Amino acid sequence: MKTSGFHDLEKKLGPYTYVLPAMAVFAVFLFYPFFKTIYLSLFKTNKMGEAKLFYGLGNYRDLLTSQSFYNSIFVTLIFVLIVVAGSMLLGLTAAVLCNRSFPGIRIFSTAYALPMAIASSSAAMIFKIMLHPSIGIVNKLLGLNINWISDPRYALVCVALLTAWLNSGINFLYFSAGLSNIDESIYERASVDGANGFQQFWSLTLPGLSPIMFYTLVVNIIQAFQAFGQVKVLTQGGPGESTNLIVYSIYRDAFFNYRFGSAAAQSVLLFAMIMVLTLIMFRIEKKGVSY
Amino acid sequence: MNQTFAAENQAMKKSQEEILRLQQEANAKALARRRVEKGTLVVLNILMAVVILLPLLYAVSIAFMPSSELFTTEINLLPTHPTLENFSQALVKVPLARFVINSFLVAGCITIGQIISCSLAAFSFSFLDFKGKNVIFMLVMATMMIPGEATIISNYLTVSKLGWLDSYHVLIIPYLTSATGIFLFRQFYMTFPISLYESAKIDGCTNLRFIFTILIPLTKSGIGAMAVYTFINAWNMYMWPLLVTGSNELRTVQIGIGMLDSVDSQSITLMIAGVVMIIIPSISIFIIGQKQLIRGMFSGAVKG
Amino acid sequence: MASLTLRNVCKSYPNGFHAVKDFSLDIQDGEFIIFVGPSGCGKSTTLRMIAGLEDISSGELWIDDQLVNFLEPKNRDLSMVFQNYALYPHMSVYDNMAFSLKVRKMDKAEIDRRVHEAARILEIEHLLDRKPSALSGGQKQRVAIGSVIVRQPKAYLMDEPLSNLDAKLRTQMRVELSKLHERLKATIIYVTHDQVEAMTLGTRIVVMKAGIIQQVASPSDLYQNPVNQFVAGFIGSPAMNFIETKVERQDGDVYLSFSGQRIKMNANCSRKLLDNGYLGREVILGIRPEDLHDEPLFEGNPGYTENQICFPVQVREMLGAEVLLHGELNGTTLAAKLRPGCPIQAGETARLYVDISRIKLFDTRSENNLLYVRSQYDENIRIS
Repeated sequence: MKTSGFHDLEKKLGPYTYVLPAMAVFAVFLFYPFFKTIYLSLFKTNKMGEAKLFYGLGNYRDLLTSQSFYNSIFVTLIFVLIVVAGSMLLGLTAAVLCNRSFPGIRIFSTAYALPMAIASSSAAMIFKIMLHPSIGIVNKLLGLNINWISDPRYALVCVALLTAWLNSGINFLYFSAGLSNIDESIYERASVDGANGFQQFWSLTLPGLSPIMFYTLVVNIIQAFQAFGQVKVLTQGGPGESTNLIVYSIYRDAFFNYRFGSAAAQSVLLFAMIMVLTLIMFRIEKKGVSY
Repeated sequence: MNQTFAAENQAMKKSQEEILRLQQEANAKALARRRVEKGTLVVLNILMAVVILLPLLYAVSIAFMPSSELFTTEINLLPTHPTLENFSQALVKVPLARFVINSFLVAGCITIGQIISCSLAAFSFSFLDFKGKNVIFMLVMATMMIPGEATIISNYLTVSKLGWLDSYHVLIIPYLTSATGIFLFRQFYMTFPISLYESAKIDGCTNLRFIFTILIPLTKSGIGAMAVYTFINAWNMYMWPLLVTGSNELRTVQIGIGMLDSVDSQSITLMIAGVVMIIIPSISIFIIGQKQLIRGMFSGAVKG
Repeated sequence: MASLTLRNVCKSYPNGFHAVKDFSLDIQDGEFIIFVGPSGCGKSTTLRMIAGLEDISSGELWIDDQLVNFLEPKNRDLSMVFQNYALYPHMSVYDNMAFSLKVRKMDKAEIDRRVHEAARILEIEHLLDRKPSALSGGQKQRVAIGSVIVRQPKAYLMDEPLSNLDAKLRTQMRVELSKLHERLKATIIYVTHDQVEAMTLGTRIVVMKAGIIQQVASPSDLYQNPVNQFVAGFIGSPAMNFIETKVERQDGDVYLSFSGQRIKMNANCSRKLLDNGYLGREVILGIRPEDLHDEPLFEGNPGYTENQICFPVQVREMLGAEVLLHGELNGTTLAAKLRPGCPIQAGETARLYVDISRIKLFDTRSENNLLYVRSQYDENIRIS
C-alpha cells in the first residue's frame, strides 16, 4: 500500500524532475531577468542597479527623443544589412563552389566552415592589425593610406565585414545542406529539357534553397543584432558613435554610465525588434516561400 | 557484281575511318573542355579559400614575425626570419596558461552540463506524459527568441547581489542548459518508437538507466554535434566573462588575451601570437568534430 | 521525330565494370522501343547514354544523321520521363510543363496553347495551378508525361515511368501510354524491368542481360521464338517450365526422357536434334504453362500428341479466368495454366498433354534455342 502510494507519487512527479534542471536554469537566468529587465526599464536606478524611483515609460520616452538612440538604431540596421548580405553571399558562393565533387573538396569545405570556430574578440584583434593604417596588410595590398577604424566613414563597414566573415562559416553549412537536399534528378531533367547552367542555377538551385535560405536569413539577422565582442575590441563604439551598435550601447549605458534603467529599456526594445522581425518572417514564410 | 561490292566495302571502310577520326577529335575536345571546367572549379575554390582563410593565415604569419619586421612599408606577407619569441613572450607577459585552463574548465563543464540537462528534459518531453507538458515545452521554445544580450544586465545584477562575481560557477551555471539542445535531442528522440521505452520499462529498466544505457548511446551523433557546438561557443564567450570576472585567476582566454592588446610595436606580434594560441583549441575541436557537427545539425533539426 | 542508331556502344567504369557491352541497334522513326531486363542489366545506363546524362565509353550514337556522342544533353533535342518523375518541386504544374519551352524562349501564347493542349490530352487541366507536393502518384506521373509531350523532340525517353505506381494505376497508365503513342506517332524509348509492360507497349523489345543484348524482336516473336533460355524464361508469366531431358531413339522415333517419363518428338524437332548430333546427349525442354492441357488437342492440331507429362500437384490457384497448377518433379518446379473447369486438385497427380508444336529445346551449355528461326532484326544486331 505504502509502496504503491510512493509509486504513484513518483509517476506523477517524475516527469517534472527530468525537466527541472533545465527549467531551473531558464527560470533564474532567463525568465526572471527577462521580467526584471522590463521592471527595471520602468525605474530610475542607483549605481548598484537597484530600482529607486518609478519613472513609468520615462526611460522609453527619453530614448525615443534621444539623438543617440536613433543613431544607435540606425547604425545597427545598416550593420545588420551589410552583415546579412555579406555573410549569406559568402556562404552561398562557397557552398555552390563546393557542391560538385573534385579532388580536395574536404579541405575546402573545412576551410569555408572554419570561421564559425573563431571568437569574435579574437577575430577583431586580427582585423585590427590587418586594418592598421601603417602596418596593416589591407592598406599595403590596396596601396591605400586609410585609417579604417578611426574614420567614421569606414569603421562601421569594417566591423560589419568582419562579422560577415565570422558568420559565413555556419551559412556555408546551411547552404551546403540545402544544396544536398535538392533532388539530383531534377538537374538531369532540366539538362534534357534544354536548360543551360545559368538557367538551372536560377530556376532550380535558388528556389530549391529558398526554405533553408529563409531560415538562414532569420538566424543571421538575429545573430547580427547581437554583435558585441568585435565592437568592444575594434572600435569601442567609435569614432564618434558611428559603430555604437545597440548591444554595445546597452553595455555602455549600464556599465559606464550606470544608467541601468535606460539600458534595460533598450534591452526590451532589442528584444521587441527581434521578436517582431522573427514573427514577420515566419508570417511571410507561411505565405509563399515554402513548398 | 563482286567489284561493286568491293568498292562499296572500300567506301564503307573510308567512312568508317572518317567516323573514327571525327570521334577522336570530338573525344579530345570534350575531354579538354571537361578538364578546363574542373580546373576552373578548383581555381575558383582556391581563390575563395584564400579569401576566407586570409585573416587566419595572416595572423599565423605575424605570430612568427619578429616585431621589427612588422614595421615596414614593404609588403611583408611572410616572416623572413621566423621566430618563436612571440609565443614564449606572450606566455610570460600574461598568465595565458592559466586563462587556457580556466577556459577549458568552464567550457568543459558547460558542455557536459548542457548534454545532461538537455537529455533529461528532452527525454521527459518525448517519452513521458505530464500535465502542462506542451505549455512547458512552448516556454522552452520561446526562450530562443530572447537574445542573451537583452537579459544580461539583470543577470549581472542578480549574480552580483548573490556575491557570485569572480568565480567559476558564475561563468558556468547560467549556461547549463539550452533550448536549442533540448529541441535537437527531442527531435532525435521523436524518431524512436515509444515501444522502445515501453519494452525497456517492461524489462524493469528505470528511467535514468534508460536514458544513460539506451538513449544516450543511440544519439551519439546528436550529442557529438551538440558537444562541439557548445564547447566552441563557450570557449569563444566574451560579454559575460567580461562583466563578471575581474581577477587574473579567473579570466578566460578571450578576455585575458585583451590584456595583450595595446598598440605599441612590441605587443602587436605578441598579441597575435596569443590569439593564434587560443584559436588553436577551438579550431582543432571544430576540425575533429566537423563531421559529427554537420551530421547532427542537419538530421532533422533543420528542414531543408 | 527521328531515327536513332547505336553502334557498338559500351559503358565501362574506371573500376573496370562494364555496364553495357557492344550495344548496336537501329531505331526507326515512330517506333516504341522497350529496353527490358533484370535490374543491373544496363538498360537504364543505355537510356541515360542516349540522353547524354552518362558518357559513352566507346561506340557511336547517331540521331538522324548526326553523331551526338559529345553533344550536351540540352542540345540533343530529346525529352525524358524519370522514374521518380523529377518534377520541379517549387513550380506549379503549369510551370513544370512549360519549363522546357520557356528555356527555349518560346512565345508565351504558344507555350500557353501547348501546355493546355497537353493538359487536355492527359486530363490534368484542373491541376495546372497545383504544386507537385499536392498531387497523387498517378497525377505526378501525368504531369511528368505532360512535361515531355509539350515539345516535339526527336525522341521521348522513359525510364521506368510506371514503376512507382500501384498495380491498378499502372495498368491504366499503360493503356494511356499506348494511346499516346498512337496519337503522337512518336519515337519512344522505354525502359522497364516489367515484362508485361514490355509485351503490351512495345513495337519492338530489346531484352538485355548483364549489359549485353540478348534479342531484339516484336512482342509476339519474342514470345514464340526466343533466342535462348534466358529470354524464354524472362518473357511470360508464369515463367516457362524447363526440364532437363535426355535425347533417345526407339523404332525410328526420337524421344526426350526424364524422370521415367518420355515425350515423343514431332518431325521438325526430331530432325533438328538428329542433324545437330544431340542423340544420346542432354537438352533442356521448355514448355510454357499455357501449352499444357488437361484434355488432348484434337488430332488435326499440329500440336497433337498422345504424350503426357505427369507430376504431383502441390498448389492449385484459381484465378477466375484460369487455373494455375504448381508442382515439382525431381527438384524441377513445374507450372501449368489450365481452363477454369479443370478438375485436378492439389495432392493429385496431373496428367497433362503437351502442345508439341510449341515446345522449345535448349542446349544445356550455350542455352541457345535449337528451334530458333533467324529473323530480319538479327542482321541489325550483328551488322558491326
